[in-house]
Amino acid sequence: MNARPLACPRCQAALAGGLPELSAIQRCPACAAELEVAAFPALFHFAGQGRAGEATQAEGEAACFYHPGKRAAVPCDACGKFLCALCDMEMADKHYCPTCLESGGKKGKIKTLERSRTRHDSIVLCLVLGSVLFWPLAVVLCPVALGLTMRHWNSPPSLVANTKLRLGICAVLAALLLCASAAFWISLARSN
Amino acid sequence: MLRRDPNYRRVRAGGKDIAGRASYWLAGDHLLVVREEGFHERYRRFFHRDVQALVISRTNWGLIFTLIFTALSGLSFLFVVGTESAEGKWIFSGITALCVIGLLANLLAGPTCQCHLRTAVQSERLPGVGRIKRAHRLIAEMTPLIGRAQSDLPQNPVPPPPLPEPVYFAPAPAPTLPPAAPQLDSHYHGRMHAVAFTLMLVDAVLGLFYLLLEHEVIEYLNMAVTLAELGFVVAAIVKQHRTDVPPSIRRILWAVVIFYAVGIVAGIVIGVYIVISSGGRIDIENLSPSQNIALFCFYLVGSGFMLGSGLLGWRFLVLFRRNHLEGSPPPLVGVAPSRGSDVDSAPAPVKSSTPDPDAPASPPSGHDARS
Repeated sequence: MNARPLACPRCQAALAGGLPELSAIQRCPACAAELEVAAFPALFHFAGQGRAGEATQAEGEAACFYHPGKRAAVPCDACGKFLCALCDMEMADKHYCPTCLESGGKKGKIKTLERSRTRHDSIVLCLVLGSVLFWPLAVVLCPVALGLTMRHWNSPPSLVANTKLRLGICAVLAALLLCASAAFWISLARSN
Repeated sequence: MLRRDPNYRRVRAGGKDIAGRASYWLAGDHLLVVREEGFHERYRRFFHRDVQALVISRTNWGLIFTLIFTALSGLSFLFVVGTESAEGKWIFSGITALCVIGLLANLLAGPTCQCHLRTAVQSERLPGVGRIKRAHRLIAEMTPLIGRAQSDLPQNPVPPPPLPEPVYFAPAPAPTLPPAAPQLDSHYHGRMHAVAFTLMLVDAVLGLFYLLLEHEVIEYLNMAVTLAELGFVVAAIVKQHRTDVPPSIRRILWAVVIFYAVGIVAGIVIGVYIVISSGGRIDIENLSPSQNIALFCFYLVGSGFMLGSGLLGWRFLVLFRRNHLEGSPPPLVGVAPSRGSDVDSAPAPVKSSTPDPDAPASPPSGHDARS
């Protein structure tokens, strides 16, 4: 049984009833906000208590790396450490220890834990647009844009945009702007 | 890219909001939300097995946008009619066309909403799902996958009966103490609001006086009062946070803020109109309401709005204070939960909440760690 009832997002009043009653709700009974609810069986399903890990029975028995008094159940698929039932983090049919799980998410080794990526193509695009708007600064901004393009060409790309295409187009534009800007400054220097 | 990944299918439910853009991708066992904010992409995964409910709550932003676009369209159309120069007519026709396009786009997009996804450990607002149509599309796409993922769970579970009061809890408070409004401050009596509404009335009166007399002193005084009024309106909005100020008073303050925002835009448009209609020369006489119909309408509408807001605001404030003095709980329509309450934070506990004897001692592992 869930400890938290479903609540109205406006006033946090509890929305009572089974799946058919929740699906039939049109207004919150407390604040009268217009609501539509799509409820699923997991709302009333108890996920089960977490495993605590069994104590070691015999001397010499393999023990958990983090809990020496608990029996090892599985090894970590990333680092090989022995893990008890409590430390075992199962994900996508693999077992990880808490340390590998955290570092895997931060370093992008475990794809399903990856939380963010930097859009280097957007940064380069902003630099190129800045060069167009503030063309006297193109001599400075365009080389920076080109440098960033080369530096991050093989960085993890965006999941939704074609990063390399955008980087390539921005690099070409930056090169053209740099040439135009350099030509302008050179001709200005010569005329002076 | 997700577009080329056969494991993912895009759902046309995401869109732009004030913080960025969001897109929704369905896989066999989870929903991936990609949020583009500035120079970063952030990812959230919600496994179908963990989804307990999707809740759509309607908002008024669609109506507000409709009113704003309608007002701007009408105002710019008036300028099209009122200006004599051909260039001015073209410019204001263009502005009118843009406003009408915005209005139509808002109407076609449909009513606005917020969509929340509920799991065992969170209630997450789905970014970018700001229209009812998009929310329905998302729910329609997710429902079969969620049903498949939760097919081994009881399909028509009976909700648990309410548990009896536990004996090991502390006894109920003494009956002589009045029950306090949960998380709301009932000690605020609307002093800041009173000042704001009074300044609105003064602003309205000064505006009307300026229309009649057109004296410089009245104009400067009006500007000073307007600035002070704006400051107190903002202060009142901040002050009313987490208090029991009724929604009627809150709406008046927000209406004034929106009116000022529209007024600033209208002021810019009027300025452009004056410059164009006077052929690029700014004549002081053109800035007088008696010589300029647009300015006259601007002052009249502004004064009328402030007068109405001030009077209405005082009326509701008097009722609010009367309820406070009598000590009776305000009526349901007058009791406003805090608008600053974060729906993403843990919800307020149910009054008779008791520990579930079957509840796990530790958060459940497995799927929840992945969300």
